[in-house]
Amino acid sequence: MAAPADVVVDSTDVNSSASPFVLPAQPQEVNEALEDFRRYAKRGTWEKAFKSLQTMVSKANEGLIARRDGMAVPAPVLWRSLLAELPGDGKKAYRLFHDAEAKALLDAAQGKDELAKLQQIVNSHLVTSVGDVAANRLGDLYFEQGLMDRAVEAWQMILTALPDSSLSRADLLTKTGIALARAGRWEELRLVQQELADKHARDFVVLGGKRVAPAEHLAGLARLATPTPSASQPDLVLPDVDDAAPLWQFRLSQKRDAVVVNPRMGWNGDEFGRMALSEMVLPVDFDDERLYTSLMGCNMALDIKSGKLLWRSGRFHDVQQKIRQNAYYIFPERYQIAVDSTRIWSVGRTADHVANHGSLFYLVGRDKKTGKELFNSKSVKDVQTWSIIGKPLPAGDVVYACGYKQGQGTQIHALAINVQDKKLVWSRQLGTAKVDPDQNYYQRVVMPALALHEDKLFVETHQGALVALGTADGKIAWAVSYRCTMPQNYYGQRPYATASTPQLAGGVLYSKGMYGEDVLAVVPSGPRLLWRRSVLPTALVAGVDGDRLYMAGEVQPDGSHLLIAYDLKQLERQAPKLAWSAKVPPSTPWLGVAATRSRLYQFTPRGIYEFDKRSGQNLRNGDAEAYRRVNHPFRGADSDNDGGAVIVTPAALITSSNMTITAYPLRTAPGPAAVSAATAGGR
Amino acid sequence: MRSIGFVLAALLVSSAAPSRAEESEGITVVGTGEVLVRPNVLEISLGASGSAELSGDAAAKYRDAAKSITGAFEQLKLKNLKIVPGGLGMQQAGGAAGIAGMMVAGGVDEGPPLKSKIEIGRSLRLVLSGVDKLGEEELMSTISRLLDTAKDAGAVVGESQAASMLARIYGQQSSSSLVTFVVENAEAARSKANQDAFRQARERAKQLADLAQADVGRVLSVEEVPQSMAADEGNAPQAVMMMMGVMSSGGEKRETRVVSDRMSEIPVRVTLKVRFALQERTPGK
Repeated sequence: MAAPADVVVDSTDVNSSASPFVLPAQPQEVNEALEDFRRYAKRGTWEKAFKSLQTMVSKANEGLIARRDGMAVPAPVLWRSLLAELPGDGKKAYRLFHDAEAKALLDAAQGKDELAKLQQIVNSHLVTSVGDVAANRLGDLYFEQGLMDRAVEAWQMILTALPDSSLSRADLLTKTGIALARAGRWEELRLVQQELADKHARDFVVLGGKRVAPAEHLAGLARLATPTPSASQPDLVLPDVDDAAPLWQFRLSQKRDAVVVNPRMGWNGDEFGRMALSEMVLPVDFDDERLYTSLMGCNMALDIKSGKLLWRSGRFHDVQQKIRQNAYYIFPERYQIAVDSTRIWSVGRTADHVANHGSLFYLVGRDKKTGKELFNSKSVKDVQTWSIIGKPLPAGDVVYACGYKQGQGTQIHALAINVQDKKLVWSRQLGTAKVDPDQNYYQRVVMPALALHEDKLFVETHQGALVALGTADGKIAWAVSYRCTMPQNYYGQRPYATASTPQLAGGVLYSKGMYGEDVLAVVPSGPRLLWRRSVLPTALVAGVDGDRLYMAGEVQPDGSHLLIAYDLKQLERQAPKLAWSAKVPPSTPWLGVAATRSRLYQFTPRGIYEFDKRSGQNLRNGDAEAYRRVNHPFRGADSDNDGGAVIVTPAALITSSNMTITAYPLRTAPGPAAVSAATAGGR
Repeated sequence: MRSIGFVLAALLVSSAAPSRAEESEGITVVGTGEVLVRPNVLEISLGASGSAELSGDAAAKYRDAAKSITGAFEQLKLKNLKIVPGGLGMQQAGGAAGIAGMMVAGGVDEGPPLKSKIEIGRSLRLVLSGVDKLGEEELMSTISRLLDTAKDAGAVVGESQAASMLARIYGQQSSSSLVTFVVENAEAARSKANQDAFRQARERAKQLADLAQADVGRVLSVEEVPQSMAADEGNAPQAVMMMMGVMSSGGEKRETRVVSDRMSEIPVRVTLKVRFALQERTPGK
């Protein structure tokens, strides 16, 4: 018998001292079981090794175990990868002990239990004689349900972990390629198509009753590659003259020192480090007809074309009154909004509690057309004592959000709330933060940011961890920690802190935490950490298209700010190279960049800058080769501001600063019609 | 031999140092000459730099910044404008501003960064000549255009934040002026000022000699009194700034120039300390 290869066992320590966010971890018994597995596997004592594995899974809680590639995964996922990495002797031994059990499970995989049983076989018995059959059927089921990432994951397990499978490799690759095309993972599709062309040129598969050459079929799919949303948004034509009249303007105040934005309101001044109310950039979202915003919880809708106030949920005067009475405990950045097909969702305190220390932030849903309140988390029994934090993410009948129970600000949870029956579907603690947001007086409040793809909810904690949860039950699917500076909670210099939302493009999730020193690229199905790339802590993810990652807000030591593009090689495990960087004037950290087909737009105190995506060239610097002959950014009608977000809507170009929301006529360069508008990031 | 050596050394020392008797002879006076000159050159200090953990990134950012800034000014197509690059420098980034920030805030900041960073940078000096031929309106308009171009290109204009902060800490005056006006080729004015200073010194010496009923004799020594300390001579705050990497410590030595932060006539001033011999007045004078 050949000596067994050393099986690498991972540590259970998911938390490093360099991250201020503590992820749920496994108990000590699991660590001991893993150590036992390692020891027995090294000796080739397989029966004991597999018993240790079972002990590990049975003792494991819903916490995570760190893998050597930097991912933290639940115990069953680790079990699966440990089995897949077993040497040949180990796999043979495993079959000996567990084939019967696996076959029984396969036989029982019928009807409503089919998916669960198949998943159980894949997690626990992948290397048995029926593991490939189970994984193949599992992939088919996920494909039928429209969960392409899961389908790809199931078939790829056979391709990578079971090379001796009797299933047709050409069939598996073809199905994988089709799922990749449906998921928009074009780079991976091309690799699969290439493998079919190289190794299975003479094979045929049956699709829709027809025999086809798989490589050609996938090549045909690759030609239909759809661009990212920003790539289909036509470029804008900005006015050449500075005094181009706006369509309309909603002004917070006539002067910088007016009541609502008084920079000298107690602790809201710069001298104590707290983000000043005067820096507040109103959150904005939109649909085809209306623009929505929230002024410290007073929601409103404006007609996009005319700026007419269609409805508002309260009186501005009431907000001003409350702020005047007590300006110490206002957290303007916590007022967030999001829009779905019928509702506007907002997070905020009630008007009479805007300035009350410790008051809860509620999630409110209103009818988009009328502003009528349809949902309020304070009347939902399961969440009425929760304080909601971060921008909510509505998805059909469910709205996802993050929050914490009153008085437990460090226990950050993800929540799924059914908006029809107004019940909590699930809540899941993501981990433990080291700073309570209710006590964070001196820096920008750290708020989780959400993104959704298929059956996964991604949460960027902005405190040192990116977490993925299943939308059905909220169970943590994986997490990645990253190094970041711990938010401080005492008087001092206020650091420039930006925040962005994780972005998915081409099957890869990109995320950068507030104060984090790396941008992460994760393939969610797998999961797999593709790379970490060092960036300055102030940078935020501004956008991703086919082969470029754009980051904004990077503050250089000389005080200038940068917009940066990185070349992506998505499937290579190497950090992307810097393609270009462009200087922009210092702007508010509440910034948002708009992307169109070939342009990037950033709104700064000196106006709207326009950059070429490929070269980073500033297109408004008077260069005769550029398509404009002006030599400065478009100044616009909003002066004396700190910059902010620029948003392309179907009907207007919108800028939102700390002084106004301004709409300009939308003129686009000739090209394909817009499929969807780019939305602002940075909130 | 040894004793001869000692004697020779003593003789050399005694001949080098003026005798007490000689030192007390004569009249020492100070004369100042001043010539007003209009600046003919305008300068704006800019910086182009890039900072990152990876030195390749820092280099790429610096190159892009320098290209963008110089490109922006080239687009203006101003005949008399040139960009004079300073020396290229590389240092650990964030240290000076971070330390200065800590000092101002009483030692409290967000904590040390987890990774060290490299900063590559170079100062750029915009030099516009012929400004003495421009009227005030045209000059203001030109300066505005240059400053706008610099800021639109994302350049940092003037003194860096870190340098200002450290200057404040050490009680040193830091200039808030964005523009420096320079007199180029001030030698002619300096020569005239020298003549005026010497003439004044002689007149004063004559007055004092008259009081002493003596005559002014030959010139025993002439010494130029410096107008201000050199920038890098024994100045503690400047030394600290250099140590912290806020200020360039060398690489380019610039002559003392005649500069002002205003567009107005600048005095070119020379002060001479002259020692004249005193002669007994000839009887009958």
